[in-house]
Amino acid sequence: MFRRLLFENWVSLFPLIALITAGSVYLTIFYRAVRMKSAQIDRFARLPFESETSIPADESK
Amino acid sequence: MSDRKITIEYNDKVVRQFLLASVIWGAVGMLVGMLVASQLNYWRLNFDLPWLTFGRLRPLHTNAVIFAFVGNMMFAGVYYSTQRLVKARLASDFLSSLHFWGWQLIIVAAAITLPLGFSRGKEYAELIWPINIAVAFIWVVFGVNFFWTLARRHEPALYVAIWFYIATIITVAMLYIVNHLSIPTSLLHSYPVFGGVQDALVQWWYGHNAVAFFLTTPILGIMYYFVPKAAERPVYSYRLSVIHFWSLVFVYIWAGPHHLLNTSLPGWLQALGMTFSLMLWAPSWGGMLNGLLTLRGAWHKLRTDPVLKFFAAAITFYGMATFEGPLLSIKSVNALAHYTDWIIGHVHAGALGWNGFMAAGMIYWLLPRLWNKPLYSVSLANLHFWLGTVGILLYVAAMWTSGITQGLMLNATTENGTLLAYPSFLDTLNAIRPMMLFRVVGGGLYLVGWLLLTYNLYRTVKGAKAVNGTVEVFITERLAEERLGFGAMVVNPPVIFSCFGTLFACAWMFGNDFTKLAGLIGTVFCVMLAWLHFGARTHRWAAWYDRLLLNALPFTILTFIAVAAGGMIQIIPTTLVNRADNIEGRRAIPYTPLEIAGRDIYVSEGCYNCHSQMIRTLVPDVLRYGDYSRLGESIYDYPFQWGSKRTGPDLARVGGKYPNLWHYRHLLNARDVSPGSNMPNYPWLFTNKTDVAALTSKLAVQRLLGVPYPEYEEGELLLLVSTQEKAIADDLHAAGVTVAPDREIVALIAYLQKLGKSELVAPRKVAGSE
Repeated sequence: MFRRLLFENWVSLFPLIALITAGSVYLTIFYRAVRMKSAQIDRFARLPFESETSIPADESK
Repeated sequence: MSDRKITIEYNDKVVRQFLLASVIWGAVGMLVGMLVASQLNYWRLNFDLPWLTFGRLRPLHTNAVIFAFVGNMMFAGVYYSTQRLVKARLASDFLSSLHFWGWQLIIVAAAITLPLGFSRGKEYAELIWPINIAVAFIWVVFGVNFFWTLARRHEPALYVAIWFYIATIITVAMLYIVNHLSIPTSLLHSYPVFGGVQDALVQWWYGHNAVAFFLTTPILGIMYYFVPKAAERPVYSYRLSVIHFWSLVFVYIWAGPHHLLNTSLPGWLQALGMTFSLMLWAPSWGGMLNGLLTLRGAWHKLRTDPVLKFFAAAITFYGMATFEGPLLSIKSVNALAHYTDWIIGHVHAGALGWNGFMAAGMIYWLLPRLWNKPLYSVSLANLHFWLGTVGILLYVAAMWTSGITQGLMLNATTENGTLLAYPSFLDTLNAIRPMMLFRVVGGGLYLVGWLLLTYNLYRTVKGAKAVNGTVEVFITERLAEERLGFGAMVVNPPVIFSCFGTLFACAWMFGNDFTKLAGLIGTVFCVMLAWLHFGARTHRWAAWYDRLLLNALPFTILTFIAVAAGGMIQIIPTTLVNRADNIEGRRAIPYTPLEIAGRDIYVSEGCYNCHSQMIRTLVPDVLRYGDYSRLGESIYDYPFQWGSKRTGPDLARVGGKYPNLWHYRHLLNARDVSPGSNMPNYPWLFTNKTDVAALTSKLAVQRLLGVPYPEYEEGELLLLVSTQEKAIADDLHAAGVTVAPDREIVALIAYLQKLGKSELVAPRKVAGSE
């Protein structure tokens, strides 16, 4: 019923190419993440847990 | 060189400043939200005052919540966690202060200009061009301060939260700059450089990713830092967080076109937007599960600890909102939900549930640490949690019910789809009024909860001494093999093979006969060679990635490539769409000077907040509003006004549908011609004079943008304007009302009567098509 787009045909490939590209990125990252060493993972995961102290703000340098 | 120990004092002053600003602006933003929600129920709350009308205040509400409330909260969280994660004080106290005060100045400027009607007419991008420049400048200040701090860090590894912050800084800069490219016509007014479909695409590429990279990625970074801290255990799976980051950052940027489904946006872009939106389910839920499972073994604390309660609920709302988003991006679901309150409910599940609760959890966690004093009342914080939760549930349930009711009623047909079941738009408006009232109640509960937080904060801080965190670190020389310079980042197997592969693939897709063949062979050859090289030299590929995790600049460049790719592939091909020979058989007739003046009044009053100008390719839309909208009909629209919500009916073809007198009476008091309408009155349009003097520079800019206006002789422009004004005023006089021709109402009527007028042109033949 509705006549749709007048646009170059090649662009209809874009969603497919984008999907393949995104899939490749995802698989690559998945592979890299799985292959990360456990010691490295543990070290990264513990980064927020460094002990700190505090001093009054009006005594700061 | 021997190791040396030093003590670092963090700059927590700026964290406290941003935190307090977030609490205050949050209350302001929510209060304005309550007012605009109430205005939809009781039109008299517009008070017949220009600066209090819904169309001007709704942008104030959205901008206040996004940029003032969440923005300040985000800066507080980013600055607090970054200093601790990299073991370095913020690089510059001056830049930190400039960032804070500059941002507050921008918010104040927005709070003044938006109610005064100074608007660019694009959602979440309404601020006028001088403020846009200030935003870009302050964002650069933030970026410089952040990356400078990373450069001075004493911790070589970059925790995943820092990755999310990097993605936020570079992507928001890219989105903001591109979507705000404008040519000024005066100190307070400009036209965007994009028009029609291009503007629509750029706007929603920005709009969607403002949600993604302003309201999501920084908050995810905050989640990855503060949830483990509050639960006192590391993130559930660091591996999952790595996958979460890259897949989210890469996929999110492509999904913008889902805001334009079933419109005249090219079909391939709609398919792209829908596909990538559905793909977002995976990373979003991966992140949500990672956040929730971080609470493993700490669930019992939720009974007593308000911080963990807020975090757990916030992450759950993140999961709900990110399930709902892709669902709404399915074209058939979108046909029902788009332009209705369902979208408003979806957005608020994210804003109130995800952003608001993450903010509350973070603030309750930070208060005792930044002022070295226990929270004044844990019970009040728990009460805040329950009030907020019930408020969100009421709000969201009301909007879902309202939106689905609206969608079903507006799309309902009888007689085998040839007639509308509810031909009067007002039937749907009156059907959802009870739900709109429930929304106000839900929002009110949420606001009361926030005010409890404000009181709790005040009592906690009162009499307390602010403290700054300190940490002792060993200064060590970074190993040479850890560093990754620009050359080493580029000259390595993964980048080289990716570049050549992309080049060959482009030649294959876009080349002529010979280059197409060469491209195909090259692509296959490149993939095979990469595979063989990877098999033989796996360690080199792995080493590159491992070093990347310790080097901020190369990591940032890689992240930029990931986000820029999605934007470029959408926007660059679409620049071809707006060509005058690619318009689906219809071409807009340029607005007359008076109609341009009227259009600017339409934009200034924020009419797009309630009225769309896009008849979708759906049977009920066509039956209700007329033939579906074509690309060519908005090519001269700077900015585009397709809208995103229909509190009132679509206006794409309203021109000529009613006489001038109808518009006159409708704008004076909508209820005179549409009983039951909730539209504000616009009495000032009948007294304000049309700004004809500004038209010379406005038309000059439009000419520059490609609208075919002639160079007017001296006096010709004024004659054109006055002739059209007089014709409308005479027509109104003949119908029984008298108005001076030079009033804004006349210009606005001229514009409204033009909508939908276009010329038929022969469609361009596309090679290979019939």
